This record gives sequence, C-alpha cells and structure tokens, in this order.
Amino acid sequence: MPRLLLVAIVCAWTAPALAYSHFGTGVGTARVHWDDTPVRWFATERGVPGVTASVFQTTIARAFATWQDVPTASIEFAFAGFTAAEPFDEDGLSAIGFQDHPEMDRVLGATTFLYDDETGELIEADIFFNSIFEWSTAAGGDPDRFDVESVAVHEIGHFLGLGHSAIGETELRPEGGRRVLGSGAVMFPISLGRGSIVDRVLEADDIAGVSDLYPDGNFENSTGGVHGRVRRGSAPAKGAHVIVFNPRTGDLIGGFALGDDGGFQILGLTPGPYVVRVEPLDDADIDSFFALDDVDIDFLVTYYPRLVAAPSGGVGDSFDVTVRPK
Amino acid sequence: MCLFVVFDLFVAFLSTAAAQAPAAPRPPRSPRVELSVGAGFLGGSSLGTADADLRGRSNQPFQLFDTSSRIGGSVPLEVRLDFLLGPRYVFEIRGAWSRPELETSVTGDVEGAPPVSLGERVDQYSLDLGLLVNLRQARSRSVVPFVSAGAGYVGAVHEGLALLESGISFRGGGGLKYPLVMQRRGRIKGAGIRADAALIVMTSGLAAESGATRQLAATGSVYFSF
Repeated sequence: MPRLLLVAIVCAWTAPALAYSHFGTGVGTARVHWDDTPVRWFATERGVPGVTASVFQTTIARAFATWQDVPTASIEFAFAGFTAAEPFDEDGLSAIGFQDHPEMDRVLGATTFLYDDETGELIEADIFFNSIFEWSTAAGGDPDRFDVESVAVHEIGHFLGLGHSAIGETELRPEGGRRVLGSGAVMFPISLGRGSIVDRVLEADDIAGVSDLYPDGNFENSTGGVHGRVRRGSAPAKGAHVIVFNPRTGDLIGGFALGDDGGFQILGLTPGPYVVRVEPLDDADIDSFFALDDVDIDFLVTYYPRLVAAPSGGVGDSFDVTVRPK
Repeated sequence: MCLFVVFDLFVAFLSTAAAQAPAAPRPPRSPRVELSVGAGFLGGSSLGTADADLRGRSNQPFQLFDTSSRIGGSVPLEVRLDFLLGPRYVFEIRGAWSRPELETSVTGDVEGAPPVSLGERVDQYSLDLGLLVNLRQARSRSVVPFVSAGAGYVGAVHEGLALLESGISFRGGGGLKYPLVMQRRGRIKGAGIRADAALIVMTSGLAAESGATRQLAATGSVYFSF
C-alpha cells in the first residue's frame, strides 16, 4: 500500500517558506497530479470582514475557471458545496477557506496535499487564506487589502500540482524579507502586495506549466522544447535558473538546471527561436523552489551566445551554457 | 525537387500526345511552358523589438531586458514554372530556398549583463502561385517588360529539418525578359534570361506578431521555353 504524504506550500507576503519546484512536483519519477476530473472542491462557510462566505465561494470558482479555461490543458473542476470541514483536515474533502494563523505573519495562504507517493495521484488538496490579513474581492482591487482572487489563482496552481516559478525580480527590504519589483508568473512565490490584482491573469510560464502537467489535444505536437546544461568550468551549476524568451510572442518561460550534470529541459514552447538567459537563483529563498543544499548562486547572469530553436513537436539540439563566477 | 518532377511529367505528357497526333502536317505551336532557374539577393529586414517585461508594481511593466531582431540578407535560389495562358498572361509557380541568419540583440539587462548579439541560421522555403503579365509581345532579341504578383506559403526550418515556423507571404514586382533564342520547331522552343525585382511581405512565420516583414528581392535567371 503506497504511503500518503501531506505536504504544504505557502504563498508569502514578504518571505516565502517551504520547498517546491516548477513544472510539477517531483515524487520519484511521478508528478503530483489529479487523475480523475472534474476535481471536486468545497468552500468553508466562514467569511471575513469585507468578504462573505458566498462572495468568497464565487471568487474561488472564478480562480478555478482561470486554470480550467487554459485551452491547451485538460483539467476541470466542480464546486461540491459548502462544508463545515476545515482546510488541512485529512478527511478526503478538498476544502478551501479562511483560517486564523497569527503565527504565520508573512503567509497569505497555503496549500496542502495528500497524495500517493508511488503514483503521484492526488487524493486531497486543501487551501487556507490567512484571516489575520485584510482581504478584498473588489473588481479593481483595494489598495489597502490583499486580493482574494489573485492569491487563489496562485494557490490553485499548487492545488493542481505546480510548484513555484522563479521568474521575478526582488530586492531585500531593510526590515527583512523581500520586496517584489516584477513578477513574470502567477506562480512566483512572493505576492506583489496589497491592491495588486495582476495575478488574476495567468502568464505564459503558468500556462506552459499546467499544459505540461495536463496536456490537452494537440499540445505536445504543436509545441516544442529546449534542453541543455549549465556549467561553471567543468562542474554543473546546480539549480541555476534558466529563462527562455521568444522575441516574437514576448513569452518568458523558466526552468531549473536540476540534473546531476546541470541539465535542464523546458517544454511547452511556441515553436521558434529563443533567447536563453541563465541567472543565479537569488530572488527568493532557494527552499521556496526545491530542497537542494548544493545550489550554485555564485555566478554572473549569462546569455547563451546563439538563438536556440524550439522545433514544433520536438526538442532541439542540446547545448551548454557556460557561466562565469561573480 | 518536386518542381522538376512535375515538369518532367508534363513534358512526357506533351511528347506522348504529340506522338499520337494524326500524321497530317500541323502548324508549329507556340511555347506553352517556361522553366527558369536563378539566384539573387534577398534583403534583410527588421523583425521588430520586444521587451522581456515582468509585471511590476502599480501596473507598470518591469523590464528584465529588451531585444531587437532582424532577419539578415541571403542568397536565394529560385525555380519558376510558367504556364503561358496567351501572349500576355502567364500562370506562375515559384519555389525558393535561402539560408538567412536570424539576429537578436539583447540590451538593458536588469542585472547588468553586457549587451550581446545572438544569431541562428535557418533554412527558409517558400512556394507561391502568381500571375505574370507581359507588357509587350515577345520577339527575338527584344526586351519584354512584365509585372507579376503572387501569394503562398513560407516556412522556416532549423537544422535537422525541424519546422520552426510557417506563414503566408505576398509578392509583387516586375522585371525584364530577354529572349536569346526563339524557334517554332523542336522540343525547346526558346531560351533567354530574365531579371526579377520584387517586394515580399511576410505576415506571419518569422515576421513579428505585431506586423508584417518586408523584404526586397532581386534575382537573375535563365529560362527555357517548351
């Protein structure tokens, strides 16, 4: 009988915590994923000032629809009703609701999984929103409150089995933690802050991630990929963040050099030539992305000196990006 | 090449038809098909600029870096198969191959990486159908000006023949033909040289999403009439 594992991922206000990686959560060779759709979810009956339980439920349904509407992915969801069950209870119900967690004063929300560690099949996933913060569902956002829908879209990405993306730039805050300057994916681990509603809309990196995990129709034949290695001298630059940019579409999609040889692979790309940029993983805590203790962050941002082709329905030739130490 | 195969079959059909004709003498017919082969220059063109933008605070984009791309000049090889519909009008099938370099300049990296220029050579194929109008009747050793236009498919292929992108191209231009040999008898009824100049507009494929790419093309060819 396979073991069931409970894992939590959080969306942070100023500092992320706990570990995750992009493009599906690795469980041996399996990925955490839902086998049966539509995935049924429940909402708790608890509201907070400014957000009733009913409004909360309709907002969460909208966030689910954002992922469900990705044309190249095949995942579906169904609202199963209100429940008195709490998020994080191991009860077989995927419950979503507010909870009070004053001890987690930088955590806006978190997602927990219960999954089969042999197959990666999800059995239950719960999401909580920390009610110590002030929340809003205003159409244009509220500058003094966090947007429920934006955080919900991020947490539902985890609910699907996606980890964090590293496409973003931050700066250290004098009082601790990090301030986001720019984010290129809903799945970036740190929120843009109060009033921001940009995470209601998925970016190319998010769409590639969910489509790779739940490919629909012709996705695999109509998209391409790139792969290669990141090296510092003769050694792998483990954990390096690789971003590919399509100058024609403006899409930015990321991946990590996680292979023992510094290898990486990025799939789900619109066919065409790409700019490849490699940077150290220094814009969030490394354990926001994965649990590795030999991640190399002591090198300069480097561009691969040629455009790299992502062919339709395949993966281009392997290439090495050689980075220089800082 | 496909075009040569098509041509050979067509010539074989004409030869067979001629062999089965009655023995009575017939007036020699005018040429019906022309095959031309040539090379030239396809000018480079801007593919536009694109910023690698993140979503910043207060709905302002935060630029990671910016890029400017262009497709370099190249030497295309062209094959044309012309079907003469009359003394003036010609239905034309044109195929071309070239090997331009895509060039992208990266500047303004937010973390201070130095500007770089990136390139990649691709094979670009095009196949289009068009109409050519002769502005004067052909005579031996006399220049015949013409105008032509066409539309068709263009595809960019990377090494290993993996299709990168495909799109639609439109071509308009003109040129001159100069018959060197014209005869009423024999399988080959004429030969000459021709020069073409055209504006090629590509609306997708390697063209930037925001607009069309325009390239000037000039080719010189030799042609044979059948």
